Order: sequence, then structure tokens, then C-alpha cells
Amino acid sequence: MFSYILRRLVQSFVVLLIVIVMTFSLPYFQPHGILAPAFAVLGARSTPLNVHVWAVQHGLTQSYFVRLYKYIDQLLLHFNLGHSYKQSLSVRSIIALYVPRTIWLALSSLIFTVIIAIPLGIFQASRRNTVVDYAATGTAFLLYAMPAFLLCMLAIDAFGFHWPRFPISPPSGVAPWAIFTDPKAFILPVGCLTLLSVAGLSRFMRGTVLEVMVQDYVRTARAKGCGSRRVLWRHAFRNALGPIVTILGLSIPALFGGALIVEDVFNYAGLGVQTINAAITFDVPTVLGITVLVSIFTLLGNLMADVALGLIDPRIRIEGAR
Amino acid sequence: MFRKGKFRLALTVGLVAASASLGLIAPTISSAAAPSGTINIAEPPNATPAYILPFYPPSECTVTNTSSFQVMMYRPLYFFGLGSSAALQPKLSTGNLPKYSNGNKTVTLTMKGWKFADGQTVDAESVMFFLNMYKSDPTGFCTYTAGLGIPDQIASASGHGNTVVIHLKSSVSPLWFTDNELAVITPMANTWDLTSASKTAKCASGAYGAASTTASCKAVRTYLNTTAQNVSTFTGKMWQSGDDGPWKLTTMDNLGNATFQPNKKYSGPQKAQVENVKLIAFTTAQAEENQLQAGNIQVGYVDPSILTAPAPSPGAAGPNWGQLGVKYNLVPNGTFANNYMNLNFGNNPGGVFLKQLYVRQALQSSIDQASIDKNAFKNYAVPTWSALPPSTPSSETGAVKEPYPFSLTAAESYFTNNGWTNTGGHLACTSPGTGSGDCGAGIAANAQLKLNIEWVSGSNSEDEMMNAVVADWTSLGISISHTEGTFNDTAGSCPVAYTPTTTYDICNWGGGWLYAPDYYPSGEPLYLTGAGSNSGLYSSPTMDTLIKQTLSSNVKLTAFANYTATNLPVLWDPLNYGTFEISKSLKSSIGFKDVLLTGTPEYFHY
Amino acid sequence: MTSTTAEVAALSDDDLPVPMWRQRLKIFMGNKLAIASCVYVIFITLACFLVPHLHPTNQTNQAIAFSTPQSQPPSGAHWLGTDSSGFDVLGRIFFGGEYSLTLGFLAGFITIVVGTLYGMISGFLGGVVDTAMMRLIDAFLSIPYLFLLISLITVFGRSTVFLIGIIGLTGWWGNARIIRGDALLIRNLDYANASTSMGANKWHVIRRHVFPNSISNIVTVATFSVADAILFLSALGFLGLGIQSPETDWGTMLQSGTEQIQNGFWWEVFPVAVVFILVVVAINYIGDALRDAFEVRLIER
Repeated sequence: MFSYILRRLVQSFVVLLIVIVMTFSLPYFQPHGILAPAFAVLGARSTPLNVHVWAVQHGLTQSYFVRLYKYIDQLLLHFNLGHSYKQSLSVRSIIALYVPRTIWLALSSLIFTVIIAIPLGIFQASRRNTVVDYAATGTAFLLYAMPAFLLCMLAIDAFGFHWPRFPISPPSGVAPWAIFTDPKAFILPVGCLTLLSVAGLSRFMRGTVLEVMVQDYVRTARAKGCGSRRVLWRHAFRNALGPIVTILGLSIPALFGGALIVEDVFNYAGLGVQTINAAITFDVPTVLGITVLVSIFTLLGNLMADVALGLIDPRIRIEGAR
Repeated sequence: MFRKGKFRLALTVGLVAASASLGLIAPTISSAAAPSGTINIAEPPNATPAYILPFYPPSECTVTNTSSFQVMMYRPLYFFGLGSSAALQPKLSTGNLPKYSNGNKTVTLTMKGWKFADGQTVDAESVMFFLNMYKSDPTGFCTYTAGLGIPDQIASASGHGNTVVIHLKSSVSPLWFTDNELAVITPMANTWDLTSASKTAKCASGAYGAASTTASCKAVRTYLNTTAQNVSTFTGKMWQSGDDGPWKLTTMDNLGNATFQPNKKYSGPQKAQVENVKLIAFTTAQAEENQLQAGNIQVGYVDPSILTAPAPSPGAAGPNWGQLGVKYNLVPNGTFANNYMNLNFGNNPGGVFLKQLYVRQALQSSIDQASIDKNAFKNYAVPTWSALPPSTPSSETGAVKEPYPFSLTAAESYFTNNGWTNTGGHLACTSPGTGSGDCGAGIAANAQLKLNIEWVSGSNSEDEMMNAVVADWTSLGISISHTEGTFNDTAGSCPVAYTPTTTYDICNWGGGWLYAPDYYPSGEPLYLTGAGSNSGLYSSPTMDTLIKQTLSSNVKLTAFANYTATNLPVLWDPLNYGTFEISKSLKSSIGFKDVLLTGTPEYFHY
Repeated sequence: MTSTTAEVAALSDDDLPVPMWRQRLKIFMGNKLAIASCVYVIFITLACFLVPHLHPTNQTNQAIAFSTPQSQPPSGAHWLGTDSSGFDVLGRIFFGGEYSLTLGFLAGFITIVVGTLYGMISGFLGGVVDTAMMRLIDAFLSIPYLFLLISLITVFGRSTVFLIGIIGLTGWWGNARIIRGDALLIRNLDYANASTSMGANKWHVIRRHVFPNSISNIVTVATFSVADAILFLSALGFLGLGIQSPETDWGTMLQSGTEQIQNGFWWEVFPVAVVFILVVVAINYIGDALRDAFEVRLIER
């Protein structure tokens, strides 16, 4: 088990290096190369002199390999991600500022998603091809096909203005525990994000449980005369748990991506909004830093999911050793 | 809900306090009423103040950092703009008007003796602090132009008590030197003369131009520059002790939300009339509009493209948006700016065409500004045709006639008179050569007129405007290809033509040039040959002569402005207005227009 | 396992494929909703590609649109009204659909081709190559897709060709994993081993055995890829990074429509929203029905 974890750790580290090199190199392909941010920051005052001064200040005159080496060195040894071009903050403090806020949003909706989607999927699987199943599948399909921003906007229009039930924007204070000072303000954003992810997860859960239910051992259990509820929970659910753990580990980036749209619509200052604003203003260090960070989260998530699976099922370890 | 409730409470308390004090104090002195109430002001989307030092580098030179934020606390030597006026405001300035002598080669500044928050006087040394810092690191300040103005034109400068005397190397136009050079100076408190939290330096008191002063100033600037970007220090003792404005910053977070309260030591005429002014940060315009609908903001804005009906006439206020009319007044605001599209006179493929004046004339006369104003901007825009903002004070210029009004037939004849033939919807040069009636230098026989256009897709209005222009140009027979920039709030997508990778022929960044903090629309950073922000590499000896005249002698801007209108260094397009939403309960003795975006909420009260 | 082997046998043997296909077709045809979905998708696709040419409305000339009343409710002249730029909404739904669908189908196609090739090669070659190729996929998958799209678009611009390329060339990672899993499974099956040991060329094995057996997964995944590509394009439209004006796509239309929603201009949002959502639902449903048809074990129940 230990050597398995070690091997996966090494693999994850290699993947992280790939991500860093890829994201670090991307700005070099901009039409104006790595100087593009200088024009974005200086705007109409992009005189050759100002651009040069700015480039020197930000170390852009050094060669690609020197910069890459420095970046990786600073990142790995000092967890220093550099300084934002646009905001007067280090990328580390931007992350420290916004990560908790996004995690609050993403985590609370993830919890609700799991609470709703898993029982729903199992229920649908057990009532396959009944009216309830069709209704739930239909709703899931609709939600899955609904662009996230449209759902959010409709929710704001409906519950913010036509029937004003909920505040339309979470508090803008920095503290992530703002959720406790005004829980009502989180109902719309968390609700929207939850609905959007429930659609995918319940469909996945339904499919997985169905898959498991036709496996030979479940059939055997059924044939032996086990009650269908017992079969469902004892066998089907437990065996479907594996894929669910994996999919949750893999869904971390999707969660950040989905939060992006929700944050944008509800004016919730989080990581997603920071990323898009940084990307459109060529704030390269911020985009890089956030991307690397989310990658680390994802890799850790995958690692934990794999380890958990390995603990559950020794066969996986052998498979994973490949 | 939370905010709304809190705001109501504050308002009620405010009203009670106001009525109570009115009974005690003579009603004529309205400013003597105890400040009460809270005003929430919306910051523009994704633009939050993040730099507090008034000696700001080009990269921090934004209205968000300067006029809407720093000016609340740090009053410049000469204060420009108040309400609908873009002019110099002597009463709000920390210095008396400058005196020019010795054939406009000597400038004498006297300070009014206002007080900083720590009780020290805003005096000559405060001004010298700024000048010394500028001298030590010219490129560190926003408006530096090599060879022109401060510091390059200064031979010597010295300050004693309340008086600063500046000797210049050559004579200058007083209007220009005051508006563009002296106006950028903000007197700085000597409590900032530090190289670390505890180590004082000699930048403020050192002799101007001395090597020791330069070395000291460089160290001070390095320290202050770092500290000025650290939001957590903004409300601290150091920054607040140098406060000579009507407001002091009491809270500020990294998201850009700030709270100001009255600075009781403010020496100027209009004291703050409310207890709190809050700047609220927004990620998107739509989020801000949602908060307006909820009534959580007193000073906000809407994008004209969502207004349902156009204004009755350009620049006037039309019907408000949706439910907002109940709570808010719509205030159109034209800034002290002018809008234009960059023309690229470099080695780009379309450069040869743009170098011909008749091509520029044809392009300009096929921009239907009236129709664009009315349809794309819902009449929240006015046509422009020269380098001067529409609100330029008449003391600075005479009238400028529109030389190329919209006419597609006129545009067509510019081409047919100069050797072009329209066959099958495409213009081709059928009379190459450099003689009169020929296509002009560098244009080969049968060359097709192709232009590559870039614009920033900031808003629907911007897209509509550019698409309408492209449609008209295409109808003339010009082959247009276009790219839309991917970001919307900076000028960076029209990077200047000197970069070899710039390929556009015409570029519109969706904005223009706001004449602040250099308030004299004299065009030297934009149209002078080789000037820093002359993005299109435009070069005209006549233009150079006219600009230099306005800088060195006492002439009005009229001749320069007329030449920008006729020679077209850029293409002029409508100046779109901002549309403020002002809470109906808010009052102000200067109105709510704000042409220079100099946030002066001390004039607002309930 | 028995049924899988039966399926495999049925496909790899040239004599017997017809009954299996017929059976699947029958299952698929038996699904009324799936048929309805197919009809709807085909209908909308035809309409989007034909209507703008058969009954052209002004959708690109803004100068002319300026003289059309803007944001007008439905009338005899404009059945679904006009939008805030003065374009006819009904015509614009088809006009924008042409871009959305072209982009969705092309990007989905690129996705599936690249993903299949990558997954097959990785799964079939195995060993170090497989590990390296999968770590690369891991790296791609650990970056939020929307973040990546935004970064790429800010770098490379957003002309239609670039958009297709960017979505197509970045959407295949999940597909590659699924196909690789198939290839891995099939590679280890006895008959594949047998044919390699009998001296068959590896490419021959891929072509003759691995690919046909993965076809069910490929077809299903392809369907979902198209739906996802259309959805991601709409998200880009919302962020203002969709097709460039004056051309448009459904996402961009929805975005500018929602800006007008509080003005009560429902015709600028809801018609296009319904058309759009139903297309994505229908494509997803077709994918599901295909999967059901291919999933022999479920049929037997």
C-alpha cells in the first residue's frame, strides 16, 4: 500500500510539472508575446519607454528558461507565485483571499448535490422506467442542457424581482464565514450551483447502479431471494460507491469551473471571477497561480480517491501499478 | 435584505439628527449640520482602487486609483473639475493660482497653508517633496514626456515657507503649464519621507536636483511604492497622517470595498455632509444593476444599451430603466474626453491607403455619427470631430467646424476623384501614380482597398457602432476583415503600432483619451511625431508646429483643433456618455454630473 | 461476461453482424422519445441551414438594422419581434443556430476523432507509452475546462475557425480515457492476444478488433461531445467570448437576451432558450438511447 501511494505521489508530481510548464509557456504564444500584459496594464500610456520599464520591473526581459526555472524554484521551495500585474497583491494573497470564498460556495453545493443526487439516482434505478423515473430523468436532462448563466439569471429574475424572496447577491465582505451572517443570501447561488451539478451526478448514479444491478453477483443475490431493497443497498449501492468516489475526485475542476459562472452572475468575489478577470486583462501570474493551485487540488483529490479505492479493493492497486 | 435594513436605519437616524441640529443652528449654514447618513457609491465593474500614493506610475494611472480614491484624501496643488465644469477650481486647490514672470520662464507658487490630518501645514516643502521625487525618477510618474514640462524643462526649483519658485529652461504657455504640468502635483506630507517604517529620509527637504536628494528620493520612492500597493496599510497612521482632503479612509478590504468618514481637519471650503461614504466593488455591470434594483446603492450607473427608450436629444436624460425610475434619477454624464479610432500608419498592409488624406476623408465622412448616437447609444452620446472634448472651456479654444459631415456620396466621390473604380462592389485602383487624381504613392494598379479592423467588444453598443461603420464602409466597396478583442476594460488590445506584431489598420478600443491628470487638451502626448502615446505613428510637420506653438506661447487651441479635424490623425467617433443612477433622496449643490470623474461626495447630502 | 463475449463475437465475425445491428436498431426505433429527438434535431438543423438562405432576413448589416425598430414585440412583420440591435429574432435563431450547430458538430467530430486515436494508441500500446500519455491527460484534466478555454481564447483570439479548433482540440481528454479503457479491456481479451501471437500486425489488430468493438462507446461519446461542445460555446457566449458580431450564436443571443429580461422583452430570451435547450436535450437523449441499444445486458432483462 505504501509503495502504491508513493508511486501515485510521484506520478502526481510529474503531472503537476507538466501543468506548470504548459501554463507557463502559454503566454508566449500571445500575439504580442509576454509583453501583452504591459500593454493591457499601461493602456493608452503604452509608450516604448513605459513598456520597457515595466518589462524590466517584472523580469520579462529574462530568457524563457531562466524565468521558468525561477518560477518553479519559487513555487516549490517558497510557495511564492509571484505578484499580480493588475492588482497590488501577491498571487499568494489573492489565493488566500478568494480560495476560502470559492470553497465555501463549491463545498456547500457539493454537499447538497451528494445529499440529493445519490438517493435520487438510486431511487430512479430501482424504479426504472416508471413515471417517477421519467420525470426525474426529464428534469435532469433539462437542467443539464440549461446553460448555467441562464438558470442563474432566471432565478434572479424570478426570486429577486418578480417574487422577491431572497437577496440576489451574497455579502461582499472578505470573510468566508459571511455565510453565517446572512445565510439567506446564499440560497440562490448555492441553489443554482447545486441544481446544475445534481443533474449530472444523479444521471451518473442511476447509470452506475443499473450497471451494478445486472452484475452476476447481484443477480445471484436476487436469485437467492434477497429482498430488492436489501439488494439495492447492500450490494448495488456499496459497489456503486467506487465510481462515485472517483467521479467526485475528478469533478473538482468542474466544480471550480461551474462556480465561475455562478460567481460572475451573483457578484460573488471568488476564484472563478478572479480567474476570468485576470485572463481578460492578461494578468498572467494570477491565472498561472490559480491554475496551478486548482491542479494541485485536483491531483490531491484524485490521489485520495485512488487511495480510498485501493483500501476498499486490493485489485485496483494492481491495476493502478501499470 | 441585510444591507437594505441597515441603510434604512442609518437614514432614519440621519434625518432625526439633521432636524434636531437645524433647530439649534442658523439654518443658512447648511454645512454646519452634523454629518449624517451613508452614501453607497458603486465602483466600475472589475476596477477597484489599489494604489494610494499620489506619485503614481503609468500602470496605476487610472481614474479608479486617482480621482475616485486618492483625491478624497490627497488634494492636488490645482484641483480640476467640479460637477459639469472641467475647469480649474481655485477654491478647492491647495495652492493659490501660479504667477508667471520673466517672459513665462519663472513660475511662483504660493500655498494656502491648509493642514494635514496630523496638524502640519501643506507648505512649500510638501510641493518640493513631489518635485524632488519626480526629478529622481521621471519614468516612475504617469504623465512624464521626455523633454517637455516637469521635470525636464525645469532649470531649478526651490521652496521656502509657503512659496515655491520654479525657473524654466524656456518659456511656456501658462495655460498649458498650469493645466498639464502643475496640475499633476499633489503636495505630500513629510511624514511619508521614509525609507522604512521608522527610518526618515531627506527627499522632502533636500535641494532640488542635488545628487544626495536624488539618492534619498529613490529609496523613499521604492519604499512608498511597495507600501502604496499594500491595502492593509491604507487605513494606517502613515497614509492617514498625510490626509489634507475632506475624507479619511477608515476601512478598506482587498476586494476594493472602502469606507470614508469626514476628515475633521480639512481646511477647504466644503466639509463632508454625511457620516459615511462607501465605495462598493463589483465584478460585473449586471451585478451592479441588480443592486440598483434592490435599492442598495445611492450613486450607481447603468449601461445605456439596456435602457428601453432613447433620450429625447443627444446628452439629455431620457426615461429611466425598468423599476429604477421610482428610486433613481438618470443623469447622463459626458466626460472630459474625446473618442477616436486609431489609424495605423506603420508597415501594416493597409498603411499605404491610410497615408492618403482622401482615404481618411472618405472613411470619416462615412461614419454616420447621428444614427450611431441615436440607435447604438440611445442618444447618450454626442458626435465629435476634433481632438478637443466637447466640454472644452471656451477660454481655451474657439469654434471648430465639422469638416466631414456624414455623406456616403461625398465618401464615394473621394474615391472616384482619386483614381478608384468600384467594380462588382470592390474598389480597385485604376489610376495609379502620384499625380493629382491618382491613387497615390505605394498603391499599385488594380490594388484592392482592403482594411483590417480590430475593436474591443466591450458592450453591445460598441459592437453595434462598429458593425454599422463596417457596413457603410463595405457599401463603398472597401473590403473589411475584422477581429474583436477579447477583453473590455483596457486599451491594451490596440497595442501601439511600434510593436512589429501589430497588424491592424484601424483599431477602436472602445474609449478615447480622458484628459486627466493632464487637463489641457493640447495633444502633445498623442499627435506629436514620435510622442509616447502616438499609437499610430502619425507624423505631420504642420501638426508638430501647431502643437509646439500651443505649448510655448499664449495661443488658444483653435488652430491645432481645426487641423486635427481636417487632417484626421485618427478617425473621430461619438463620445458616449456615462449614465449615472442617482438616488432621489440624495441632494447636491453642484448637481450630479461629473465630467472629470473627480469624486466629490462632500457636496452630497440627504 | 458471456453477453459481452457474444457481442464481441458478433462483431468480429463477418458472417453474423446483421441480426445484432437489426436488433439494436429495433430497440432504438422502439424508443419513441429517441425518434422524436432525432426528428427534432434533423428538423432544426435543416431549418438553420436552409431558412437563412430561402427566406433571408437582414442579420449582418447594422446600418440597415438601425432603421428597424429595436426590441419590438412580435408582429406580422417580425413573427418573434426584433432584438435590441434591430435584427429579426426568428431569423436570428436560425442564423445563430447555423453557427452553434456547425461549431458543435465540427468540434464534436474533432473531439471524437482525436480522442479515439489517442485512447486507442495509448490503450493498445500500453506500458511506458500508455503511462506517459495518460499522465498528459491527467495534467489536462486537472485544469478547469472553462479556465483553459478562456485562457486559450484570450491568447489565440476567437474567429470561428479558432473557436472550433480550440473546443475540438481541448474537449477530447475525457473521451480518450473512455476509449483507452475499452482498448485496454479488448487488448487483453483472448482473441486479440491470439491474433498478435499469430503474427498479426498491431495496426491490423487495432483496425480489425479494437476499433469495431469500441464503436458503441465511440458513437455514444460522440453524441455527448456534440452536446457538450454546444453547451461550452454558449458559456463562452455568456462571457462575451462567443462568435464575433455581427454574426452570432445561440449562447451570445441568450446572453444579450438575458440583459433585456428585466425590461420584459421575453421574445429575446425564451424562444431561443427553448430551441437551444431542446436541441441539447435531444442530442443527449439520442446518446442515452444509443447507449441503451448497445447495452446488451440491459436488453436481456
